[in-house]
Amino acid sequence: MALNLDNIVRFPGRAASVQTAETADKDLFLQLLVPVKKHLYNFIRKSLNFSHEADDIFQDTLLKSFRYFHSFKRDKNFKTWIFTIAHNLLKDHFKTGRGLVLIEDADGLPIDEDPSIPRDVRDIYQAAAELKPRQREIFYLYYYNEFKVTEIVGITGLTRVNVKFILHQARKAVKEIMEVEQ
Amino acid sequence: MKRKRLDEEIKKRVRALEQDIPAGLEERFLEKLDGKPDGLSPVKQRSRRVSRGALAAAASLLIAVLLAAALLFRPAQAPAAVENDVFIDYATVEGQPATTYIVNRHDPDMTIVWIEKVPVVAMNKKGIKR
Repeated sequence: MALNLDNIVRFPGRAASVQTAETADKDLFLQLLVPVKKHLYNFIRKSLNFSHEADDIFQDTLLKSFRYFHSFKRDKNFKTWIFTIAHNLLKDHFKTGRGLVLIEDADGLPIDEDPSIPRDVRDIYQAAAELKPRQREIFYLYYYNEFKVTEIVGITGLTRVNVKFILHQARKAVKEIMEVEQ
Repeated sequence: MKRKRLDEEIKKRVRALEQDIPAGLEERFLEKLDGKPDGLSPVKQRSRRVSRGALAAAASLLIAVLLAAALLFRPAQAPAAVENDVFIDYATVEGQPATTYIVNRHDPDMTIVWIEKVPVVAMNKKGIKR
């Protein structure tokens, strides 16, 4: 039987007539996950320069966030919370020295050689790939996930000044490439 | 290019490349949730991990206790022998005979001088004490 997150969300009490606290937690977790999962997946992929290891990190993020879902305060922002877990897993991943640079798209083609991707888009990803892992993460949190600087501070644990400085560096690097294009 | 325009342009390009989550990946996660493998439970569990800060604090405390103990229970040192040079001389102070003591101490390095009045004994012309 094929499982789909959206179906489960639509019928939250599908399996049990008497909902235990655990089931309620699971349903709520899946419900909160629906609007953020795609952005989370793409954020991890982009931060890892489209490495295949992104799938494992995404899976680990979901499992870990579900395991510690009890610690999530219901009045807080779920998106920020789950991205913090993803950030910590990415940090561990880079710490172990497995942060390989492999720029491939969904079909396994190198991004800089895929003709279906417009040149200006390819250039942006090439510029982002040159950034340090931490800088790249913040770059995508800001430009792809559209988090505010305050939210990025909460996710990464960096200071506001540091986040702004990293964004400034990233913006500068990308701007240089865009000016070369023109 | 103005910063706001640049930001908008970057956002547009970064968002242009987006991929759906592979179906297999979602299924695997949901199967894990349904199957509840060991350790996968949202029930509260107390973490056994000790934070680095707590470890550092414990290590500092231990070092402080050991240092205090070492200071308190160190063997009492015998006072170092102090060598004194004592010079005794006789002089006349304001016409009166006096004994001068000069003591040179090496630890601490200091010189003590004191003058002791010699009692005057009155004598008659024949040298007999009165």
